Amino acid sequence: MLRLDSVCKRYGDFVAVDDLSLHIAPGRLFGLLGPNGAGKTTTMKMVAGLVAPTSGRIEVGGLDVKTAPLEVKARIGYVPDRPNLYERLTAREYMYFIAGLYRMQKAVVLPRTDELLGLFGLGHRRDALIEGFSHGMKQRLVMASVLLHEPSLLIVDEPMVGLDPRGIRLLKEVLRAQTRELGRTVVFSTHTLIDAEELCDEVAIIHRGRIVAQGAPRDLMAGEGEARARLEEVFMQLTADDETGLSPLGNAD
Amino acid sequence: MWLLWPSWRSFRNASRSRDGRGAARYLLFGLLGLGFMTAGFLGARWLFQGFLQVEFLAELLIRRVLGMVLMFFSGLLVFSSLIGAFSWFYLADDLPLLVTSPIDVRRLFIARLLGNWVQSSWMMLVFALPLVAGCGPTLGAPPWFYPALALTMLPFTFVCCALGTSLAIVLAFFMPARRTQDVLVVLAVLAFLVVYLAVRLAEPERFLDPEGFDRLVTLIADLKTGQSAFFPGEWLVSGIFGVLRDERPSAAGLPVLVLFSAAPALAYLGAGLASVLYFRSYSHSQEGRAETSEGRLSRLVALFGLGRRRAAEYTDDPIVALRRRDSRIFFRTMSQWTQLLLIAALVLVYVFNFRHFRTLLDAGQVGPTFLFFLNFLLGGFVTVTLAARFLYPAISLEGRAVWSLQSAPIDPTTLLEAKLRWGFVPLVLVSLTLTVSSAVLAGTPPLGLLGIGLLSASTTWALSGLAVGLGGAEPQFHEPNPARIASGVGGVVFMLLGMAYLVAVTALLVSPVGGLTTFATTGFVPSAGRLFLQTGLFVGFLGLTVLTHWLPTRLAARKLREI
Repeated sequence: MLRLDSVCKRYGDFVAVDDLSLHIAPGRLFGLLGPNGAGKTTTMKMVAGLVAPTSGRIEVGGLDVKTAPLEVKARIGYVPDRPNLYERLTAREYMYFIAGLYRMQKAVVLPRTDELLGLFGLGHRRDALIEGFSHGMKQRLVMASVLLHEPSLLIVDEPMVGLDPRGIRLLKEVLRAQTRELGRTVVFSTHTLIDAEELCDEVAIIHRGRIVAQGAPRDLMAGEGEARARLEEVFMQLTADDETGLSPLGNAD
Repeated sequence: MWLLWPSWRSFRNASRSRDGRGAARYLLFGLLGLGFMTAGFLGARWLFQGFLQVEFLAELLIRRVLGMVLMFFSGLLVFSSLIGAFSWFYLADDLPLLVTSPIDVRRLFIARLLGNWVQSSWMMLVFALPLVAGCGPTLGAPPWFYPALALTMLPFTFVCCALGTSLAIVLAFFMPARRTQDVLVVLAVLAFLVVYLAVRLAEPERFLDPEGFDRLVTLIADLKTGQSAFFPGEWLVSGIFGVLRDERPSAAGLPVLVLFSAAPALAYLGAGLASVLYFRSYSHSQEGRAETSEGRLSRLVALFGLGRRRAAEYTDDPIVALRRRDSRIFFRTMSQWTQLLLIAALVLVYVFNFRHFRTLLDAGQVGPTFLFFLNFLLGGFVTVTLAARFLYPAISLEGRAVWSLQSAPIDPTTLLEAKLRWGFVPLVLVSLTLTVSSAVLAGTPPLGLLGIGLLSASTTWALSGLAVGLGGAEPQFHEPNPARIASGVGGVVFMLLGMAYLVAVTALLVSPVGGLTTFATTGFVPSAGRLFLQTGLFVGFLGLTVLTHWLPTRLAARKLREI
């Protein structure tokens, strides 16, 4: 479903993504993990067509992001890490607006909007202005809007941030349903490693723009015996030279 | 002062950012400001020198005019400080950090007051200082008078700002800050409209003829404006005259001393007021925050069908979807739609003024072709200004939500097309109203009306493309304030290019329009060679118009694809 071949992204001298290659099969729930500034968001933005790669090739469903950007975008649903929305639209207007950009049929859009707003607990606020929404409500509205056009690839950047426990559970269920029941592919980034362990069929740990480990969470955890019984331990070992200098309490060097 | 440090560093970092372009922008605006100040000073000097014609009243007149000027500017400053204070004290993003920090409210008040003072006063100083200083040459002021005056203007502006800020603290105690700010802005715009129309209907230009001068003198002499002992402007004027007329030291120094001591006294009193009222009014402002566009005024707008919430309005055409969304957001954003009132005032003032040119035409002082192009150029300049304010920022106003467009399967040309359609229709209506109604009032024949209409429509189309295109080529998605976007380097470049385009169009069309006018009035047909040249010039105009629209929009589409 998604293929990245030797993708690089440079901002001047800074290399955000360095020769990154990745292949994700259809119907998989794939987690991108990595410390802050590792290149996760840049990678996702390149796939979604928001940032152009400096070099390399990205394919979605066999289509090149560079040569067929609109066709690729029609197949993708992208959820950014911050839910910046048009604050002076109502939730329903926003949904209609997004559907209009995808040229969806009215007969499909109207019931689907109500259905999705209801699913994400926004049915009672559908005609309220977005500016009055909390962060979590905005996040849920973005999720609802990207599911409108039934994308075959969902790219979700830090979806759990700002959601309450009920919202997180709902989101997990939705992401699972997208892959297990509807056969869609989901790529999401997270810092919550327990969620990745619980949800993902496969994860990749990105560090300094490169993939340093990839596989099913169970395989990664089992690879090194008792010491790496949890994904968190795998992550800490693989990103030990993180420049932020942050280290777990009691484990500072 | 530590509380002002982030503002200072932000300003400094912004001016150094983007390869020195920030510094270039400040230099450009600095030069423009200096130009305005020089022009203001020369204009005021000319006016005050004129008062010397009436020897026995000259000083009184100067004093009264200075009082009026300071009264006007102090009113403006109190109001702008009042509006600014709502942002500084209740709506700024850093307030949660500051309010939860162990900072004494009085210290917070003084720091924010200083910030508000700098932000509100600099523009008034640029305009008011040269006007007041213009009395210097007439009153024989020594060179040190000018820096001393600038120094004395500082406490004057501070006093006005402290009054406005303290008033905001009191008002916010009774009503949520955002709502109060919105109501005050609308009231101010309406007041401006009424005052401006009243001034225009009084036709002050009639005072400029020699017969009217006596009436002007009598009028000013009769005015009691700015004579109250409690008015800070009067302290400043008394100080100026005390110093220049070498009166007793107390007469000269006391008013200035009062001014300098009133400034800290008011700051102290304001801080005391804030220590009692601020926390409760800040808490109150949080309650009103979620209702930004839900207020009564927005509901009033919705009554007229503008930006109202229509439940089942869906379109599968992205351009229509974008246009509808822009209209809704425009009419739900008070700072945007209230500008329409100003445009209405502008159109009225323009049309009222233009009818006076009919007199010049009747007197044979100007010809119909001159009047045609004068109308075109003046109307065009207004169109350029409006395009800079409303169309140039159009792409940038997508703001941080632009990701939803970038990730959607639409090409940037769709976005540009939607912005153009959204902006062009109202702009061409304003442009046609300006030029055609002025032409009707000036007695232009039907062929001239058709000509000015077509010319206005085609140039507005070109200017729309130029504005949207240049704005899209350098989008500022991080800046939510359209006025700031329009006043940036790109906005100024657009205005200069737009005006250059209008001048070029005039140069290209003078001969063809002149030839057509002569043919229509006398039946004279020019020679074949001249006809060929005029046709070539007209084709040149068409080419320039298409390029002015097309090139910037292509450039913007390319840039937006690259982002």
